[in-house]
Amino acid sequence: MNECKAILVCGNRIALPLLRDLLFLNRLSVLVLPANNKILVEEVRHYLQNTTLPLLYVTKTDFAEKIADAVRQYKPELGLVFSFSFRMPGTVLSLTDKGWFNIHPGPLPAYRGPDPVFRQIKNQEPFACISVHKMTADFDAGPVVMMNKIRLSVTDTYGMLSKKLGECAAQNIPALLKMADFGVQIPARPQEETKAVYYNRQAAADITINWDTMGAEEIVALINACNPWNKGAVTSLNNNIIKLLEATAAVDEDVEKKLPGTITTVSKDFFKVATVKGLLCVQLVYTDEGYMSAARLFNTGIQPGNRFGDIPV
Amino acid sequence: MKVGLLYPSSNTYPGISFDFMDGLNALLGHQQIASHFNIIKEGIGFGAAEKEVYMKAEKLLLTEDVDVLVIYADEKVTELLNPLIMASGKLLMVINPGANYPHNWISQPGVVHLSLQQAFMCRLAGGLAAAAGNGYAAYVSSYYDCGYLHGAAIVQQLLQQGGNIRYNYINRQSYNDSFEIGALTEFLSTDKECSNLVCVFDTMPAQLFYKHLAAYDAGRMLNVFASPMMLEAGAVAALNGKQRYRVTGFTPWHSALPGTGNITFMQQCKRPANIFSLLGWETGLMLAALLPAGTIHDNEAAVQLLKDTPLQSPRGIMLLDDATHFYTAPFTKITYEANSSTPQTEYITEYTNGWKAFTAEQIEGHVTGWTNTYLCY
Repeated sequence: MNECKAILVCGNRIALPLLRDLLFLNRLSVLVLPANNKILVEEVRHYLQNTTLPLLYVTKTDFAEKIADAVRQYKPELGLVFSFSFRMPGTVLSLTDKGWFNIHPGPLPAYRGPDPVFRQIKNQEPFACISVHKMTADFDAGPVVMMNKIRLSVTDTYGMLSKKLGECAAQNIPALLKMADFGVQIPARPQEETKAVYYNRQAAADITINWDTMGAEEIVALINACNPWNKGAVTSLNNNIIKLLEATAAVDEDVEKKLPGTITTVSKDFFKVATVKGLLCVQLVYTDEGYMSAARLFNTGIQPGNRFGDIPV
Repeated sequence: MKVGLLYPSSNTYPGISFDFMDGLNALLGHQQIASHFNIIKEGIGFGAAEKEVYMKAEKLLLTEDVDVLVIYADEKVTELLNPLIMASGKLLMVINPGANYPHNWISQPGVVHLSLQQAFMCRLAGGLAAAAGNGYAAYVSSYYDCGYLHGAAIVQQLLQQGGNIRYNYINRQSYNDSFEIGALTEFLSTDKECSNLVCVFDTMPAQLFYKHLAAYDAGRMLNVFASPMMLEAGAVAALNGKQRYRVTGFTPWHSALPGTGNITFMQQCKRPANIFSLLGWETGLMLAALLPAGTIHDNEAAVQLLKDTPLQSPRGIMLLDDATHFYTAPFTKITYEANSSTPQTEYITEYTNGWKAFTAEQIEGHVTGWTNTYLCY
C-alpha cells in the first residue's frame, strides 16, 4: 500500500508534536512556515537538522503562490494546516489529490475563530478538543472528519493546553493519513451552522479582569488563558497596570463582605482578593518591573484594603 | 434493526466467532427478539489488517446501511473507524477482551465499548503484588502477551503502590514440550528477596508456566499475581494441588458464578459457555436495550439510551460508564493457595473508585505493541 505524503503548513508551536511525529513516520514532503515567526523558525530548524525535508518560508503576500509552487514541485497527496492565520485560496486547495485538512484546536462549530485555546480555557470548558475538517473557502467551516477531546483541567494554562492539544493532534493525524492511504473518500460530517460560534481574536476587554462581574473561578480561568502569552490577566492597582499570573480560587471565609477587587489578606505566600463570588488567592503577578511573588509584593507595601480596579485611561 | 458484525478469527481459539455468535443468538432467542434483528456478518481475521477492517466497516455502513456496527477488535484498530461513525451518525460497539485500552479514555461520540476489562484486572493484581511482603516482584510474560497494555497496567500499578520490579522475564518459546523457564528460576534462586511474580499469560502458556514453576523449589513461598486468562479453566487445570506457590488474580467471569443470570446464560448457550459466548450474550443485551430506539439516526441518543439502561449480565449489573463509554461489571477475585486446587472466590461489586483511577491516567508518549486483537493469533 502506497503511503501518501503531506505538505504541512503551520503557524505556531502547537504544531511541533505533529511535525515531530510526521517526520518520524516519514510522511512529509514539504513544510511551510510563516517567515515572521522567528522563534518557530528557529525551533523547527533544530527539528530538521538531520533531515532533507524541504522548508519554505512564506509571508502574507506570497504564501499562496509559494505553496502552490511547492505542491507542484514536491507533489504531496494531501495538505495539512495547523494554526496558520492566512486564508488559503481555492486555487491552492484544489491542488492536492486528497484535499486539504485544517487542524483546529477547538470543537467545531462551537469554537470557530483564530484562538480557540484561549476561549476554551476562559469559558471554563471541562474538555478541550482537536477538530480536523476539510478546508473550504471560509475559515473553520468545512465538514468535520474527526474530533478528539482531552480533559481541560482548571490548572491548565494556555501554554500547557496548547502542548496537550498539539500532542492530541500528533496522535490522531496518522489515522487521517491511513484513511488517505486506503484510497477511500475520507468521511466527514457537515457542520451545523445554527450551532456555529465565531470568536474573534481576543481584544483588550477579553483579557482584562472585570471585578464587578467575575467570580474567583472565572478570574482564575482568565489568568490561565493569558499565561504565558500575555504574562497574565490584566488589572490595575494604584493606577498602575498589573497582570495576575498565578492564582487559585478559595472559599470565601470572610464574614464581612468587601467590595470586589479589595485585597483582604496579605502574607508572604499569597494575597487574597474579594470577588463577586469567592476569594481569589494570588501567588504571582507581572508588573513593568518584573515578575513578582506574593512575598515581593508584601515587601513593596501592599496592604489589606488596597483595591484592584479599572484600567487607567 | 440492521446490525453489521465484524467478527474475529483465531488459531489459538478456533471457536471464537462460533462461541460469540452462540452467545449472541442465545440471548436474542431467550428474549424472543431474534426476528427484530437482521445481522450482516463479515470476518476480519485477527483484526490487524487495518485497511480490510476499514473497508468492511465502510461497506456495512454505507452499502448495507446498518444501524449498529459491532466489531470484535482492539482499540488501536477501531479508532480508525471513528470518522466513519461520526459522519454516518450510526452506533459503533467495540468488543474485545480489554487487554488494550485507549490512548485517550475520553468518550468518542457514537462509540461504546464492551470488554472483559482484562487490563483493569491486571492493574488490580499489580496493586495486590505491591502490598505483598516487601513488594519486590518479577514481571513475567510471553513475547505475545507482553505486546498489549495489560502488561503495562500490572507493572504500573505495582510501581505506583510502592512495589519494585527486580527482573523482567519475557518467554519467547513455543508452547510445547520445549517450553522452559530456566532464566526465571535462575533469577529467583539468586534474588531471594523477590517472591512475587506479576504474570501476564494467555491460557496455554499459563498452563505450561504453572507446570514448570511447580517443578521448581524456590525454598520460599512464591506469590503469582495472575492476569485473567491465567485463571481460565484451561490454565488452572495445571494447579493440581502440589504447587508450592499461591496464585491470586481477578477474572471477569467463571462458570461457577452464582446468580440466575449466569445460570440462564449457561443453559441457553448451545456450545459450552465461555468468555467469548459471554461477550456475544452481552452484545445481545446491548442490542436488546436499543430496540426501543428503532432505526438509529442519532448515535448520541442511542448512547444515552444505553447509559440509562443497566444490563443484567451473567457477570452482574453492567453499566455504561458516562465518562468513557466503556461498560463496567462486577468481577471475581480468585485465590489458589499453595498445595490446593480449590479456588477461593470473592465477588467484587465495589470497583468504581478503582475504575475511575484507572481511566483517569493518560498514556504519555507513544505505545508500541501487537496490532491484532488479543487472543486472535
